Amino acid sequence: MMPAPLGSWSMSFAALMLGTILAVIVVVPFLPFYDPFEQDIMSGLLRPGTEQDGRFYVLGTDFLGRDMLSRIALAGRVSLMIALSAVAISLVIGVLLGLLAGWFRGPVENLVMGLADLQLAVPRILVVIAVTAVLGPDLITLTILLGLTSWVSYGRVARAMALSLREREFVLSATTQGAGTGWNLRRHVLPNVMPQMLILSSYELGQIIVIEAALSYLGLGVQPPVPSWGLMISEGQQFLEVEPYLSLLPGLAIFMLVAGAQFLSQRFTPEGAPDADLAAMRRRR
Amino acid sequence: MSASLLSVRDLVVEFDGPHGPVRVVDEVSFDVGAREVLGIVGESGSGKSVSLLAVMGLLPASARVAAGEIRFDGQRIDDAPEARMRALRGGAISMIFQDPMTSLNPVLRIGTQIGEAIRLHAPQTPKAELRERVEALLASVGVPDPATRARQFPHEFSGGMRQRAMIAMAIANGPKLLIADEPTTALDVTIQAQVMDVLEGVCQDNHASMILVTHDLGLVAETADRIAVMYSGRIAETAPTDALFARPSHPYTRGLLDSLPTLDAEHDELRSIPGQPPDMAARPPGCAFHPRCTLGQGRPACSSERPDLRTVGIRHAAACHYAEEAAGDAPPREAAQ
Repeated sequence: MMPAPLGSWSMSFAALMLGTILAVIVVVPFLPFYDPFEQDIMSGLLRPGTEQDGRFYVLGTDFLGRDMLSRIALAGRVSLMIALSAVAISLVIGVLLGLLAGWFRGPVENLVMGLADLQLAVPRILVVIAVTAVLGPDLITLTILLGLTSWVSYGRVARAMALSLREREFVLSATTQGAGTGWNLRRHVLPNVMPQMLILSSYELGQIIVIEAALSYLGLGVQPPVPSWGLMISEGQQFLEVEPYLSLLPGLAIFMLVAGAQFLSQRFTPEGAPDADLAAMRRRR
Repeated sequence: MSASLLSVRDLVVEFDGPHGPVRVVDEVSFDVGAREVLGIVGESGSGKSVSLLAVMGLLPASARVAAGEIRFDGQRIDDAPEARMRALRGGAISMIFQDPMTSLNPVLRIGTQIGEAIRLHAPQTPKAELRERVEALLASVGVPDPATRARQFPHEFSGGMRQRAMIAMAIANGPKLLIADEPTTALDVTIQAQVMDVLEGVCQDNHASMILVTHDLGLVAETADRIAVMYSGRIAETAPTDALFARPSHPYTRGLLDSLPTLDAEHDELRSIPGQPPDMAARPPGCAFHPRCTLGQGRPACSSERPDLRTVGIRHAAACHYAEEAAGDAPPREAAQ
C-alpha cells in the first residue's frame, strides 16, 4: 500500500481521532466531575448532553447513573495499559526469537518456527479463555497471557527480515570490520527490523484491544466495577434497543483508538524502511 | 619473498556442489609486499572474490579452504581462531566493497557507521574523541564539510561520496592491507578516477598495501604495481604491470588486452575472446582455456597436460605451455586482423 503523505487529509483525520481519544483518556480524570464509580440510580440512563440536578452529563450516564465520560476515560486507561503491556511483552519475545531463528537458521529456526505454527494452530482467544477458566480472571494474568500468545507475527516477520538482512552487504561489510554475531544483530539487523515491528505493533495494539474487549464482554477479562470498553459494550447490550449510545460510545472509542493508531502508523512506514532511497524520492515528490 | 605482507600459497577453495565438491579456487598463490598494490584481474566467476573472502576468513558456509596456506605478517591465518580473525578484520586488514549503495546500512547515520568501525576495535573511545576522529577520517577521503556530512544518512550521499565514506570506514584503524573488491564498478566513469585517487592517497598516507580486484584492465594499469590474471579459479599469468602490458605471455591475457578499445586503431567491432568461461564443476582437461585458445588448437599438450605457472621473465610467470610463443610470435595488436 502506498503510504499517504504527511499532512494529507487522511493523516490529519487519523491524528484527530487518535488525539481526541487520547485527550479524553488523559485529561478527563483531572476534571472536577470525574468519578467513574459513583452511582445514582435516579439519574440512570441519561442521554448525552442532558443536564440534571445542576450537573451536565456530556456523554450521559449508564444504567446505574455513572458518568459515561468518566467511565470511558478510565476504561481507556485500563484497555491501553493491558494492550501496551501485552504488545511490549510479545514484541520483545517475537523480535528475539525471530532474529535468532533468521540469523542462525538450522535447529534454532526449526524450533522457533515450530513453536509459531503450534501457536497459530490454536486461536489465542481460546488459549486465553482456557487459562482464564483455570486461573480465574485477573488483569495481570490477562496481560501476560495476551503477551505470551501474540509474538508470532513479530517472530515471523523478524525472521524473514533477518534472513534477508544477514545476506546484505552492509552486514558483510561490518563483519569485515571485525563485527561478530551479537554486534551485527544489535547494530545492523535490529535497527532495520524495528520500523516494521513498530508498524506491526500498532496493528497488534488494535487486535489486542479488541480481544481484551471481547474477553471482557464475555466476562473473562476486566471485572466490574472496573470499566473496560468491551465490558461497557456488554453492559449496554441489554439496553441496545432503547439507549444504543451505551454500547455505541465505547465502540466508537475503540474505533478511534485502533483506527487512528493504524492509519497514523503508515506515516512511519517510509522513513524507517530499509529502502530509504525510495522513501526519500517519495518525500520529494 | 620473505618480506611479503600477505602470502597465499597453493590455496584451494571448494564449494559443495550437487555432485561433490567444486574447486572454485585451484592452487592459487600470490604475494603482496609492503606498500605494494596488487591488481587481480579476471572475469566474473574466475575466483577472484572467493580467494579474498578466504583471506578474510569469511567464506560462505558451503565453502571451505581445502588446501594451501595463507600467511599475514608471517603468521598463518587460514586456520586462525575466530577471535583472532575478528581482531584482524577491520584492524590490520580491511575491505572495500563494490557497491557503496548496499554496503552502508540505510538506517544509520554515516558518522555512526564510521564510528562503529572504530568502536569495534576500541570500545572505550570517548564520544567526543570518536566524533573528532570520524570527522578527520571523512576529511581525509575528501568529503567536504565533514561535521555536517557525518550526521547525514546514506541516501543523502551521492555514489562517489558513499564510496569515500566506505573508504573512511576501511581506513579507520590504520590497516596494513586494504582489499578493494571492484571499488569503482558501481560508479560513474568520472567519479571512478576521483575514488581511485582517494584510494591511492589513503594507501600512501597509511603506508598500506592494497589488493585491487577488478575486471577493468585500464584501472589496474594506472594503479597496480603487479597484476595477477585469473581464469577459471587459477592464476593464468602474473607479472609487474609494465611487463604484463608489454609482453603478455598467456593467450588469455592477450585476448583481454586485445579486447580493450584503443584510440589509435580503427575497428568497427571490438575483438572478443570466442566462447564462454568453463563451468567450474566440469573444467576441460589440460589447460582450462584451451577450447577458447587460438594458440592451442590441435596441440595435444593443451588438452591433456595442465600447465603450471612457470617463469617467463623477471618476476613474470605464466601458466601456458607455449608462453614464449604467446608473448613473442603473436603479431602486434594493430596488425592482427
